[in-house]
Amino acid sequence: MTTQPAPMTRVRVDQAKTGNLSSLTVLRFSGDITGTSNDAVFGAYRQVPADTRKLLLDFTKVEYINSSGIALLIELLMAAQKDNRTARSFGLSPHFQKVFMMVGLNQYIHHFPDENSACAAF
Amino acid sequence: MRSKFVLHRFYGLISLLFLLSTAPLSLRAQTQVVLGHSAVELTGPWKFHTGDDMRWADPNFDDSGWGTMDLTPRSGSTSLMYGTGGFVPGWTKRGYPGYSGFAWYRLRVNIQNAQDARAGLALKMPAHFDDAYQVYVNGQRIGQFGRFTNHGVTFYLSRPRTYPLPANLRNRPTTIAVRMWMDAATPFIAPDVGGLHGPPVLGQPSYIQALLRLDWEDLDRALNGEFLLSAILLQVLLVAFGLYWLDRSEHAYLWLGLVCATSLLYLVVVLLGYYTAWIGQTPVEFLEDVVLIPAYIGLWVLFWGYWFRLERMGRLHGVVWGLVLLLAVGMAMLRPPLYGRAVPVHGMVWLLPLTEVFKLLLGAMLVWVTYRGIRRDRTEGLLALPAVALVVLSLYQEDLIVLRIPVSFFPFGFGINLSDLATMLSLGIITVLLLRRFLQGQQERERIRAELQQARSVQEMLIPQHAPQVPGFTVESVYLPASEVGGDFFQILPGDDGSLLIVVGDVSGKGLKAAMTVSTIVGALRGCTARKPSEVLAYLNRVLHGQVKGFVTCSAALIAADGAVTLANAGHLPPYLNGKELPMEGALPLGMMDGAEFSMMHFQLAPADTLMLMSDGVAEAQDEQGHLFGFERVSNLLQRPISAAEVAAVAQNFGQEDDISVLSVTRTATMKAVPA
Repeated sequence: MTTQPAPMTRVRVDQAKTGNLSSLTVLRFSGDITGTSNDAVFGAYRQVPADTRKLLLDFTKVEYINSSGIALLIELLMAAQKDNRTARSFGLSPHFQKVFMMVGLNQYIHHFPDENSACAAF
Repeated sequence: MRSKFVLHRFYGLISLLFLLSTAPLSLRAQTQVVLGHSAVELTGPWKFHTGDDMRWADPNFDDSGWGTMDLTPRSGSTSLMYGTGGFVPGWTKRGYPGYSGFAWYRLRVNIQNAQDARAGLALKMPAHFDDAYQVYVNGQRIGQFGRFTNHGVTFYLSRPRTYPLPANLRNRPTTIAVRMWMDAATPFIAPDVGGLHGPPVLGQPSYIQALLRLDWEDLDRALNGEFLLSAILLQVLLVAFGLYWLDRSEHAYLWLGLVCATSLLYLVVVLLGYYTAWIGQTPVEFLEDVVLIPAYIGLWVLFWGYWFRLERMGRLHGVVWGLVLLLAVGMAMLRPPLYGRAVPVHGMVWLLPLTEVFKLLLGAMLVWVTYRGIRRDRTEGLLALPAVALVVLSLYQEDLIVLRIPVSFFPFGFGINLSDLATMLSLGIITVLLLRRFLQGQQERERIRAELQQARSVQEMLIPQHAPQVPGFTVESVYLPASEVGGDFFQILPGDDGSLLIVVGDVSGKGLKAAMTVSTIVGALRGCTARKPSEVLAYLNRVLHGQVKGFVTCSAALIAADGAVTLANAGHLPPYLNGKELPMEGALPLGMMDGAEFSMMHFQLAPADTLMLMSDGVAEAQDEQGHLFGFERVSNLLQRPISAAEVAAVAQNFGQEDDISVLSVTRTATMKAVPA
C-alpha cells in the first residue's frame, strides 16, 4: 500500500488573554504531529516570550499524533514545567484525550473542550 | 542571422531538356537541347542607407548619394554562429557598428533576353537576414517577412521565402528596394549581424521554387542536430524520471529530469520558431533567453549539487535561484520588448557586462560544486568531471561566438553546433553514471534488506513466535511488525511457582532503531530477577532513561497460579478483561523520567477469564481516508469472544500504520498458588 506523506506540522504562536486578562501564549498546532515535527514544535516553543508563564496548546487542527509525536509533546510539557510555565490544552479529539491520559500527560496539562474555557481556567 | 541553415550559394541553373523523339526508322533520331533558363544572384553592389522613408521605395528616387553594400559572399566566408559558408556579414560589420532599426537596400536591374516572357519572374530572398523586411519592386510592395505596423515590427526566426514579381518587367529597368528592420537586441547575438546575409536571387518561378526547396533542405540538415538532441533528451528525461520513480531518495534523478525537460522545451520553442509562424521572435526570445536559459543553467548547478550529495543544498538553492533571477531580469532588460523602449539602448554599456557577470557567477557555482564534489568523493567527482566540462561548454557557447570562435559545423553534411554536441556527449556520460549509481543503490538496498532480514531473525529469536505452554493458562500472541523489524515487544516469563509474568510494550518510532531498543529491553528483562510488576517497570525505566530518544510504553502483569493478577502500567494501552477495559491511572512511559514510580492494581482472573493486552497499533490503525480504528471499535470488537489473531487481523485489514501486537491469556483451570 502506498502511504500518503503525513501533513507537515505547522505551529502558529499567538498571544491571548486569560480569564483575568493576564497575557498568555497560544501554540496553535495543525497537521500531523510525528517524529518529524521536532523542529516545528520546539521552534515554536523557542518563540514563546521568556516572561510567559501561561501556555495554551491548541489541537483543533491536529489530525493525528503518533507515538513519536506524543514523545515530543511530553518533552515539550516537561520543558514548560522546567521553565515554570503552566500549560492548558483544548481541541483534542476524544481518541487523543485518552492517549494523553494513558501516557500520564494529565499530570502536566489540563485539557478543556474549547479555547474560552481553557483561557478562563488560567 | 537567427536562421541556422546554410545559405545556398547558387551560381545559375542551367536546365537541359531532353526531348527524345521516336522518329521513323527511315529518319535519323534527334535530341533537342534548349539552354538559357536561369536564375541570377543579385549581388549588387546595392545602394544602402540607414533610416526609414517610404519614398525610398519609389523607383525614381535619387539614391546616388547613398552608400553601397556588395552582397557577394567572399571566398571562405562563414557564419560564426551557424558555420555556414557563403555568408555575407551584416551592416554592423561593414561600417555601421551597433546600428539597429530600419535600413534600405536598393538595386536597379534590367532584365533582358528572357526566353519566355509569359512565364513571369520570381524573387527568392536570402534565408539569413536580420530581422524583418519588406520588398518593393518599382514602388509596389511584393512581399514581406515579419509584420510591420504603426506600433512596431513583429519578427520571426528567419526562413527562406520567394515572391512573384509583377508582370512585364522584362527588357526594362526595374528597381528593387528592400526595407530592412533589425531589433536593438540582435547585435548581442553575434558580432556580424545586420540586414541581408546573402544576395536575393531573381529568376523563373520554377527555378526559384527549386532553390527554395534547397534552402528548406539546408534548414532541415542544419536542424538535424536539434532533432537528434531532442530525441536524446527525451530518452534521458524518461530514464531520469523512471529512476526517480524507482528510488525517491536520489534527488539527482529528479533534477536531471528537470534539466532535460527545460532543454527539451527550449528546443521545441526553437523548432516551432523555425518551422511555424505561431509565435513571434519577441516572445520566443523572451522565453528562451529570459526564462529557459537562466533556469537551465541553474538546474544544471543544482543537479550536480545533488549528484555530488553536497550538504546544505538549501543554501545552494538560495544562491542559485537568486543568480538565476538576477540573470533573468538582466536578460529581460536586454531583450525585446524592454530593450530599446523601456531600457535605453545606451543602457547596454552596463547591462551587458552585468548580466554576463551573473551568468559567469552561475558557471563559477558549477565549478565550485564540482570542486566540492571532488573533495567529497574523489572517484565520483573525477568520473563526473568530463561531463561537467562538457556542460560548461554547452552553456557558454554564445560567449565563444563573441570571442569569434566558430561554434557550428557540418561534418558529413550533418549540421551540428558545439553546444548540442557537448550536451549530447555530457548526457551520454551522465546516463552511464546514472545507471552506475542506480546499480550501486540497488546493491546497497539489497545489502540493507539482507541486514534487516538478519535483524528480523534476531528479533524473532528474542520475541516468542509461539506462546509457551503454561499449565493453567492458554496464552496466544500475535506480532505484526509494520516493516521488517518492529518496535513492539512482549515477553512471557513463567515462574517456578506456576505464575506467569507478562511484559508487553511499544517503543516509539519504527524500524531498525526501535528494534534495537527492543533488543535492549528484552536483554534487560532476561537479566531482571524482579517479578513484581512495579519493580520490573522501575528496572526497565532505569535501563532506558537517558539511553533512548522517545519513550517506551509498557505494561507488566504478574498472574499467579491461582489467578491473582498484579498489574503495573507505564503509558501503555490498558488491558481488557473479558472485553472490558481495565480502569488504570495514567503514567509516564519508560525512559522519560529518572526514578519514576509505577502504581499497581490487583484483580482476580477467574477460570475462563481472558486478559487481552495490545499495542496502540490496533487502535491507531488507519484506513485510506485517514480514519483511525479507534478505541471504540476495539471495545466493540471485544464484545464477543475473539482470538488475538482475529483482533490483529481486523486492525491490519483496516489499515496497518504501526506495529501491531496482541497477547491474550485465558485461565483454563483452577490451580493453587505454589508457596514461594
